[in-house]
Amino acid sequence: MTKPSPTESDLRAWIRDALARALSLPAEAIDDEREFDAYGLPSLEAVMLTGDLEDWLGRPVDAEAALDHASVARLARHLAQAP
Amino acid sequence: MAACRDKGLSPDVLGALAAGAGDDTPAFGFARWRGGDHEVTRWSRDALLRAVRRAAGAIEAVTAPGDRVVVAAPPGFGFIAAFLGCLWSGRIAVPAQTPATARARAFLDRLVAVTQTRLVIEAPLHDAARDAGPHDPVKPRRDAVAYLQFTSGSTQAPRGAVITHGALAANLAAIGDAWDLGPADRGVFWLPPFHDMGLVGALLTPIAFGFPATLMHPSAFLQRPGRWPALIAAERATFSGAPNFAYDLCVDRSDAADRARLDLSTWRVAVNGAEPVMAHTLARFAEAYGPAGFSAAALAPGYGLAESVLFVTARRSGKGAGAAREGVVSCGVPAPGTIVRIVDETQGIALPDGASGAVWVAGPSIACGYWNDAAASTDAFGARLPGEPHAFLRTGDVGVLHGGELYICGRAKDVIVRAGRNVHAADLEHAIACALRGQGRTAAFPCLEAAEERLVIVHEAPAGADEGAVRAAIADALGAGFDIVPDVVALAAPGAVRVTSSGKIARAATRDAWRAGLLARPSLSNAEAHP
Repeated sequence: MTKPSPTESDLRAWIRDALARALSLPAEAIDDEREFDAYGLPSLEAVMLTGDLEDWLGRPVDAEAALDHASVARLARHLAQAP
Repeated sequence: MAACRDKGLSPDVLGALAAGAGDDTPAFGFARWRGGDHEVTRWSRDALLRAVRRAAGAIEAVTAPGDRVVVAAPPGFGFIAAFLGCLWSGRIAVPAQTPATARARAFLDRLVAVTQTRLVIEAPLHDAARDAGPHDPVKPRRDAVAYLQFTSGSTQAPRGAVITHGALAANLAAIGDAWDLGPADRGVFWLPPFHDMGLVGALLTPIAFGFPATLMHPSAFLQRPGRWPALIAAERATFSGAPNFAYDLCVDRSDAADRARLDLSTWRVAVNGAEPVMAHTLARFAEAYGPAGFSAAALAPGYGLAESVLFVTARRSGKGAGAAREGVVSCGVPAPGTIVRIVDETQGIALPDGASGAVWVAGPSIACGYWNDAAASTDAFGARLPGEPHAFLRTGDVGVLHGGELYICGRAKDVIVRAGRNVHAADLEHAIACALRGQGRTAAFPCLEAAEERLVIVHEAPAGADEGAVRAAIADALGAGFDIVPDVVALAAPGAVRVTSSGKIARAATRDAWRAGLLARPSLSNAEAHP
C-alpha cells in the first residue's frame, strides 16, 4: 500500500468532519471527547460511518468500533493503535 | 381471569430446545467479517442445549424463581444462552442493549430500577458456568411471565410489555402459519436481539420450528448493508426480514455489479415490518435485486408491535406485496384468532371497511399489560367496544381495513417511529422547550412526504432571534436526550404552532398547516413566514 498511514490527528479530523456532515453541524461545533449518542447521532449512523472509514483507510475496520469507542477522540485513538 | 387449563404450549420453545439433545445439526451460526470476507461459527442444537442449561444453572445460583434478569450481553451466542437460560429456569428475562456509552448505561440503570432486577448479564456466562445446570426446564403455565419487552422509545418512562408463555406460543404459531415455516427453512438475520423482531423473529422462531439461523451483528450490517443479502445468498436462506429502512439501505449502499453476483433465488419470505412499509421501497428493492434472482413474490409486508409479542398481520408467503394505497402497502390479514378493529376513538365505535382510524387489536398474543404500571396498562390494554366481550389493545397506530387487509397509515399523532424505536412527540417538545427556556412553542410530528416518514419540528422563533443558535440548541436537545436527528426543522413566526382550546399543542393541525405551505419552509427565513 503506497498511501501513508494517517496519524491520530488525521483520523480525528476525518471522523470530526464525517460526524459534522451527518449532524448538519459545522465541524467547529464538534467536541472530540463527547460521545456520539450525546449528539443524537443514532448509533446506526455512527456505525455506518465506519464503512466509509474503511474505504478511506483502505483497510478493514471492526464493525463494532464505533460502538465500543464512541467519541471522535476514542475512535481515532483506537484506529491509530489498531494494526 | 378464567382458569388456565394447561394443554401444553404449542409451539413449545423449551421443548424444542430439549429435543436437540445429541443432535449435531446446526441451530445457530454467527457470521463475522474482516473486510470483504466472512466466516461463520456454528453451534449445534446439542451445543445450544448444553449452553442454555449451563446459563440456567448460573442464573439459578443467584436468583429465585420469578426474579427479573436483565440480559444485555452482546448479540450472539452469549445473549441467546442467557435469554433462554432465564426461560429454562423460570426467571423473567428482560432483554436490553449492551451499554457502551454513558447514555446507554443510564437507560439500563433505569430498566434495572423499574424491574427491580438483581442480576444483569452483560457478558456471556455459559462458558464460565461451573456445572452442567438443570437438565430439564421448568414447565411454565400459559399465564406465567416469560419476559418483559421494553421499547427503547421514551426516555421518560420505559415501559415493558409483559409477555406470557401463552402469548409467546400463540404468536409463534401465527408466524409459522403465515409463512409455512418448518425444518426445511433456513434463516439469516442481523436484527438486534433485544428488540421484538430480533428476539422473536430471529431467535425464537427458528428454535420453535426447528430450522437453523445464521446471525450477524447489527453493526456488520450497518457498516456494509450489502452483507445482509450476501449472507442470505451464501447460506441459501429462505427466511429473513427487517424494518423498511434496511431494504432502502441495501439498495442505496451496494453496487449493481456486486448485487448481480448473488443468488437470492432461495429467499422465499422477505419480511418487512416494525416500521411503515413503503410501496416504493419494495419496488426498488425487487428491481435492484431482481438480477440476483430475488422474487417479488417473496416480499412479505407485516404489521406488529411488542405489545402483541411481535406479529399482528402479514401478507402470507408467496403472495408478494399487494396494491398500494397512497404509497402504503397492505400489511396483510390478521393471524387466526386475532381481531383487528379500526376505531373512532373519540366516539368509541368501530369504523366500517375503508375508513381510517385507530388500530385496535385483541387475541391470544396480546401482552397482559406493562410491567408495574397499572395506569398505562389500563389505558393501552383495557379498551372496550360496544357489543364485544374482550378488551382491546390500543396500538397507537392509524390504519385502514380494506377487504380484510390492514393498511397502516402512520403512527397516532403523539408517537414517532425512528429506525424501529418509538419516540413520544411530547417528550421531544418538552426537551426543546427546556433547552430554549420556553422561548417559543414547538410541535414535533411525523409527516409522510414522498412516501417517506419524516420527523418535522416546527418551532416558533421570534423576529430577530439568532436562527443558528436556535437550530443548534434544538439539535443538541434532541441529540442529547433522544438519539435523534430531525429531518426538517422549520423556524416559523410566533403563532405557527397550533394549540387546542386547553392550550395543548395541536400537532395534527400544525402538520396540516405545514403541509399546506402555510408555515415557513426550512429554506425561508422566519421574516418570510406566514403567521
